[in-house]
Amino acid sequence: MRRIACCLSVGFLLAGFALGPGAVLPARVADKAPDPNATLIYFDAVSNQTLDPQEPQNNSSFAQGVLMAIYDSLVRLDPAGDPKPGLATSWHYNEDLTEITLTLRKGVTFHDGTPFNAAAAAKNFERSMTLGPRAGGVTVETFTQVAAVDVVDNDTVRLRLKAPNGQMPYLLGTQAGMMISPAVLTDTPFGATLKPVGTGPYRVKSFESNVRTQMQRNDAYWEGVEGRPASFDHNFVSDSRARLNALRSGQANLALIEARQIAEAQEAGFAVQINEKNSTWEIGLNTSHDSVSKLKLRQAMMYAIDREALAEALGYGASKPTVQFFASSSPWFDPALEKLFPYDPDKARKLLAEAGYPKGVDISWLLLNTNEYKTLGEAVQAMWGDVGIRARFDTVDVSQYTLFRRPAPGRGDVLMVRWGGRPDPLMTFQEAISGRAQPWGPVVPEVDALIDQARALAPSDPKRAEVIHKLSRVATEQVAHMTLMTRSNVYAFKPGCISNLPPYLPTGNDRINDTRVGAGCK
Amino acid sequence: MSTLLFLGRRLLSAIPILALVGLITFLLIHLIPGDPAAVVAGDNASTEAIDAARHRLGLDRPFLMQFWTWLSGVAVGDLGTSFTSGRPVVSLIFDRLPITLSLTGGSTLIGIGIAIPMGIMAALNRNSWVDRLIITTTSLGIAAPEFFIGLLLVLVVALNMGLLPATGYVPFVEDPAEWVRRLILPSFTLGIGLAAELARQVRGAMIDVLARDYIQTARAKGLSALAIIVKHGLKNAAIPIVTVLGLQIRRLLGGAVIVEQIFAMNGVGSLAVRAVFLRDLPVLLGVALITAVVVLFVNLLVDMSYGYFDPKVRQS
Repeated sequence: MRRIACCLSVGFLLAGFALGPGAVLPARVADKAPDPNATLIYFDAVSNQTLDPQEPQNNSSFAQGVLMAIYDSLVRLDPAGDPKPGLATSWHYNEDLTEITLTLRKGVTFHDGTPFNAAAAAKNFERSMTLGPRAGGVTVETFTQVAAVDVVDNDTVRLRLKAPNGQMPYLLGTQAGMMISPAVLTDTPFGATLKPVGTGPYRVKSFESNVRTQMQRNDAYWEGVEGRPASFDHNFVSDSRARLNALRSGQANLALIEARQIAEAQEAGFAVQINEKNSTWEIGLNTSHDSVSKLKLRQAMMYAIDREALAEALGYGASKPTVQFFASSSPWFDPALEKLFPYDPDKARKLLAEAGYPKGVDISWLLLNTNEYKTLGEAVQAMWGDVGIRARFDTVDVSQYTLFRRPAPGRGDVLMVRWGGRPDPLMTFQEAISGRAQPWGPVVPEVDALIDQARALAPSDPKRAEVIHKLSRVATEQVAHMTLMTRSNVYAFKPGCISNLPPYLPTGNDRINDTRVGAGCK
Repeated sequence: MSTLLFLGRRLLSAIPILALVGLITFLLIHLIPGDPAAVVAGDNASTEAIDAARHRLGLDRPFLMQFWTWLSGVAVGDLGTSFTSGRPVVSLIFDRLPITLSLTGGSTLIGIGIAIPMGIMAALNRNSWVDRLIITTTSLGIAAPEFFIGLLLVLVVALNMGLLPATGYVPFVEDPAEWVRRLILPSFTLGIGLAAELARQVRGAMIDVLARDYIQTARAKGLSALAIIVKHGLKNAAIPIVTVLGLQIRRLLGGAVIVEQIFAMNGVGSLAVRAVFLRDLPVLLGVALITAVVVLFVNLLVDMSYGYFDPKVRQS
């Protein structure tokens, strides 16, 4: 497998691909001056069913591109994921973290002219609480913790929580904190019936579900509009070849392409930008099943995987081998963890024997049936097979991933997923490996204890970072999850035509709405 | 009166056919794996949220009850509501129907435009090198899949020569000239197969008709070659040609699914593909039903055209 991987990757290595945050290949030519009359025509691989931020389809980490253009959230997460002022200029907790008080930005109006104030924020909060489980996961997670909402004064609003929770600034930086004009919330609209009116840098001109969102610049934007293009046209095109073709024939000036298209895009004269994400290929483990409940077997599985070969052969220069949830550019990345499980088939065989499987072991793998899952799955299957871990695929549709966790005891010993990343590193552990997320409980009890400990700490508390780092170490050492490699967003555009598109770690999308289009670039 | 009776009978017979199409589609959709409730509940939804979505969508009710609810809605023109977008299926389909109809219409025009002259030329030059060239060309046209033709046209005409756009669709009312420009490549992609199939049919039918006595009589009367071919040849050869054309409409609708993907056109085909991935049952059912209606309508037109081309059929 390693030989195949090396052969496949030779071309890319020769091309001198080097991955770094926001890397542009070839080296970026000077950005052209932003054209305020331009239209950003972006061809994306992700669509929106509706433009309601609280609707479950919009819970995906990859569906935030258009929403961030229309709506501002109360807290803005910076590119590294740290909470910074958004529509709330500041916030503070009470001593026991059961109340969070937000001071709101003055002078902001929604696209329909409705003023943004505490009453508007409260109306949004109440709507989310009323929606209950109909809302998307992060909204449910946020508002099941809220006991009451107080309008303190015109510019101040307070959330009273049911239990101490230091996560609220992160949660309010997601779609759960996106503010909708109260004027359009009067008839309890939801999903398709919601008129999309926010305070964001772009207002909606037209929307075709799962097809296209045309937006015009909001010239009254509170943050200013300097250099922003006059229009933002977001198009969903599922076929990656058609996205690149649109760029090549001038129908788009920015396209999200697949990593395997990097060479083709470069040959056609386009600049390629690789934005690393807190997004990884992950193998989850059902530890209620006898085999993978054994630490030594899990460790053997880790040592048997040649991540470098996987990243070289299947990442096309846009992936990095890793054993943890976080990108190397993330403040939560721990370089020491990367030394934990080097590719060592002999050690894997030894651990397998020590785990009680000297003649090998059979593993059931619930495999989702798309090409990328199959390709990566078969590569890992071959590597495991080399040391005696015989993985048998149980292939199901992507929408059936829930079979892994239900009904108890779940189907398959392992399941591979494309993890989209979360704004708060703690949310990653909560949603991926905690006892709350898995009916069989945490892989290691210490994980849940550390999660609870971190939840009860304020984001500004240095202890919180310590606990999260410890959590990451425990989860990796105890093989509570198996990370294979990172994934990145790869963009193609005419050299010099696109600027201000840095890697944005909190969501699967980058902040496309901040992108500038150079003069003469359509 | 007899035409009206014929029409009435055909329309009545379409009702059970459509119900059967609905039932078979319903069964097939329930047989394929996938959980629409999990899709609707969104990423990382809890078990409770997925169950609530299943109940809200009525997916926890018995199969026949679900089918009956859908069928009763269809009877009053309600194709249901999309599970994922929350919009009425009728409006979702009718928003995209102009794109697919433009594509299939354009393909049909291109198909006929190429097939008739090619078929006539082959028939007039039977067994000559022209005939053999046309037969070989049409064999290639039939054998080449749409995705291959489409990608080739994009590469050569759009990307290398830069003559036409590679992707997208612009509505006629927005910009008629751009509407035509955007339709040329996809229509060619879809129309080439039709042209090849139809050209062979035209050739065969014309060879048969041109050997008839009344053609010899027309020639003896001194009619021009064009008048003989068009007025006496083509009209009498039309029934098998129109029959094949009617059958090919189904192929065009199926091919549109692929061509819409290649050219990033958001027609009914791409709606159906998306609905499959999202397990959006009402949309899938709606698309199947509307497609069946279009096919039945085309078949009806074909049957009615027989009366025009052959008065004996009209009398019978």
